[in-house]
Amino acid sequence: MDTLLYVENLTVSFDGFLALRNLNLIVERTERVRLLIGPNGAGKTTLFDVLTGHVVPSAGRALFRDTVNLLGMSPHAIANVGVIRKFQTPSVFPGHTVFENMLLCAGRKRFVSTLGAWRAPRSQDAIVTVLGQLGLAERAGDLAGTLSHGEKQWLEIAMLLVEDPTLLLLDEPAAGMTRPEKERTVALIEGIVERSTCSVMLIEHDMEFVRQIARRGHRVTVLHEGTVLSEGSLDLVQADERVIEAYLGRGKVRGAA
Amino acid sequence: MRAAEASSWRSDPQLVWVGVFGAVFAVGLPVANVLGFVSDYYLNLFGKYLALAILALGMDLIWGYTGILSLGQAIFFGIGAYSIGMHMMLESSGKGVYGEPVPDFMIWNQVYQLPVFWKPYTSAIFALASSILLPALLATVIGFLTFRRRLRGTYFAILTQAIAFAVWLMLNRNEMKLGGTNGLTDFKSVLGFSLSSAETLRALYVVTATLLVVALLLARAIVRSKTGLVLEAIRDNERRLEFLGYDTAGFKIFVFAVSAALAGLSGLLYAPQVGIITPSQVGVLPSLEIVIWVAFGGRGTLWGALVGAISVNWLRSVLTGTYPRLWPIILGGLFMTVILLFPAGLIGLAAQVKKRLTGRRGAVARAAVAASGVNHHTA
Repeated sequence: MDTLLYVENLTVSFDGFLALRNLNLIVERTERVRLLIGPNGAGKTTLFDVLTGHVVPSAGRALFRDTVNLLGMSPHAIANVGVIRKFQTPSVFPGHTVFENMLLCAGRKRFVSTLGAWRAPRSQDAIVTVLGQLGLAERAGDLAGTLSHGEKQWLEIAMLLVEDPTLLLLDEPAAGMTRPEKERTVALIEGIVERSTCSVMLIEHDMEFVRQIARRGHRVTVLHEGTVLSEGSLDLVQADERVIEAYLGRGKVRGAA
Repeated sequence: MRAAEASSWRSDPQLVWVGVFGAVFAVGLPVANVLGFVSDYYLNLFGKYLALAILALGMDLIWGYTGILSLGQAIFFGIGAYSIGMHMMLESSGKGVYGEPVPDFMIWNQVYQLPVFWKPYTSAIFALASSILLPALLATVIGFLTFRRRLRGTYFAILTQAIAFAVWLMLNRNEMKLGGTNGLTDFKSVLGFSLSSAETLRALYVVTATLLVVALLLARAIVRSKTGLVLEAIRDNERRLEFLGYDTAGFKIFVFAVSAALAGLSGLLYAPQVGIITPSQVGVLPSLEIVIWVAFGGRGTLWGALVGAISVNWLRSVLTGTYPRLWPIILGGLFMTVILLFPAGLIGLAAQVKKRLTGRRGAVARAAVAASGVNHHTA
């Protein structure tokens, strides 16, 4: 086996409602980007919740890098093995500066190592580099709460990048963005893929955004009612009758998915 | 690099204020007392306020900075005060009315043998250590049992309140052999120095003021470290922090233990200066009062805790002399006013006024520090 993520028969039940039912998913270590799409309530965010220790599944397995069993681990332990997540709404610390937000994510997280560290660390090169990559270097001293919505989304991505993740889970990184912001986000994600070694799993609703990311030939997984409906290149899944039906209900206009 | 370090010292104007504060309270006031400008009574009164300011510092660390409302701070204060109180009682044992080797109140309860748990308190070292370390230990145990189990927010406040109530009930009972409702009082001397002499009280005042400055520097070191940043982040969004890889329980246990140790130190300094410690200072109400001091001064700023503790207690001294019945109502009114009108407290109010006057943004200074740090490396 040489998988980055191996998910088998994952089932999540919320008071009898099955948010995930027997979901199987494999991401290879060589894969750099995997897109997750699907109609509302398909279970995309729930899958991220399970992978990051937020939701406990009723059945199934989830292995990270073949050996690490993600189920049963606490959220902070999962983050420390390199699975880091971006939430749907930007979750930055608004009362702190952009720089402090980054500082929180850089370096070791154990209590003892933070006690000796000052707020202005000796080595901040990584922070400065990443802020530069995401176009936030000028805003380092501003309170995160004063950033625009798009900038907050980028700051959160920047925070996750200094964590040096192995698998980055991005939940709708372009939600609520203007068109130019979306285009910039596409470029940022492509930049991340080129520069770093981490793999990205990405949930997105905006098909224009998905098309732009997927044009590099990345695989797309379509979820529907808690299980995988189709998987493959974007052209392939878009041509899949079941996908069209899931999106449009009772199969109407073709190709609009 | 060295230049950056030097500039980070220079860009810390608050350190100057710590120096000014120390010079005024630890040096200026006692000198004025020796010269006759400040009466012994007022010096002793200020000694009490400064001791309570240490208690407020601890509350500010856990509540103001970390957002954990602990309603058990008075227990830790009580442990500190009772520890030194027991030692002082034993220092003067044999010199009491009955000439017995146990404190007088035990005779009234027909106890003629010193209870086992009193015995170590004949040692001054043990009493001092127990004042500070026992609260820290107790807080660590409570913290371990609660924070590890993800007991948070209101539940933690209720739990600590329940513990405070239980401790208060126990202390009121004579069977505890801690003086019951009367508490411990009639101290003759502390560490061999007579408490009836003005010199001893002046020395106690100087020690209190000095230790307050030390506590302030310690609290500043914590707050300005990365740990301080994590504590504030716990207050603002603990869940997010966990998903970033932080095991928050350890941080919370640490800050709870530090706040408890400071409360114990406060009690240790309070008891000999005031001359009495009773269960009424250990229960739920005094714990709540500490919250009011910090809120009034300005939570989340160390100066706010100091200003709040000193000003509210000074106000109490003034008003209980003239309107003792009105004091609880005034205290309650103060709390309501702060919450409704200026939630950032006196310090926040002062910052707002300053902002109006100079037109500068409050965050500018802090932001400049971070930005200058970045520039050092990009340049």
